[in-house]
Amino acid sequence: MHRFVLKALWLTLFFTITACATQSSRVPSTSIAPAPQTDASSSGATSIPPVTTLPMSVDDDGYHVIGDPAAPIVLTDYSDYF
Amino acid sequence: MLEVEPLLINRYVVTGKMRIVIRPLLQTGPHALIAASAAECANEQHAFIAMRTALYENQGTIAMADNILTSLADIAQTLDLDRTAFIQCMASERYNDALKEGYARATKSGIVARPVFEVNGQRLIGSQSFETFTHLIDGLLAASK
Repeated sequence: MHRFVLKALWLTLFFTITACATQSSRVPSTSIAPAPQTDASSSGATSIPPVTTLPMSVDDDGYHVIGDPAAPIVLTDYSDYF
Repeated sequence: MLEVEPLLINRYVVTGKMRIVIRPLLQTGPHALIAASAAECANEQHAFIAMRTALYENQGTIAMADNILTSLADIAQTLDLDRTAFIQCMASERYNDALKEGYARATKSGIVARPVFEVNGQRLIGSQSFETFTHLIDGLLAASK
């Protein structure tokens, strides 16, 4: 009796695994989006587009400036990091 | 700002219409000073923006860290910065006076909340939507033509 139950369990496990494998093989590979590739150096800047390629400067008061120092619009951002 | 900033950069900074001036505040106390110093120390390795972004994205981790300096050094390392040089810069506290002066100037000019934005001198208090910024900026650009 014990041996029969054990065999039944193995069979159930076998069919479950087979069914799962069959199911996953039906999923078209195109539906699995590859995870975005990021490296450590860019991980902190993933939400900001090519800022590092933009002009960076320091104004007369010593504040960091992103963008063309002669741009007509000046957006001053007062904030802290917490 | 972190959510809106990339959109504004794409629309106005990349096109040369706008520049962003970053004025750090120290309203949340010693941690804010340390974080602002971290951005300056990262700037010595040409990574001001990367560190600034990382600081915003890791606010919780940094605030909860047992040792904030170690936490910041870890972040610097993930940004491929020279960890030793970064730690030495932080230990020197060489930016503290300038950051405190800048904060004092901001306070004196009436900045008592955060965040605060000024678009060509027009002050906006609190977080703003992308639409609020574009409405104001587009209006200023149209008026300047």
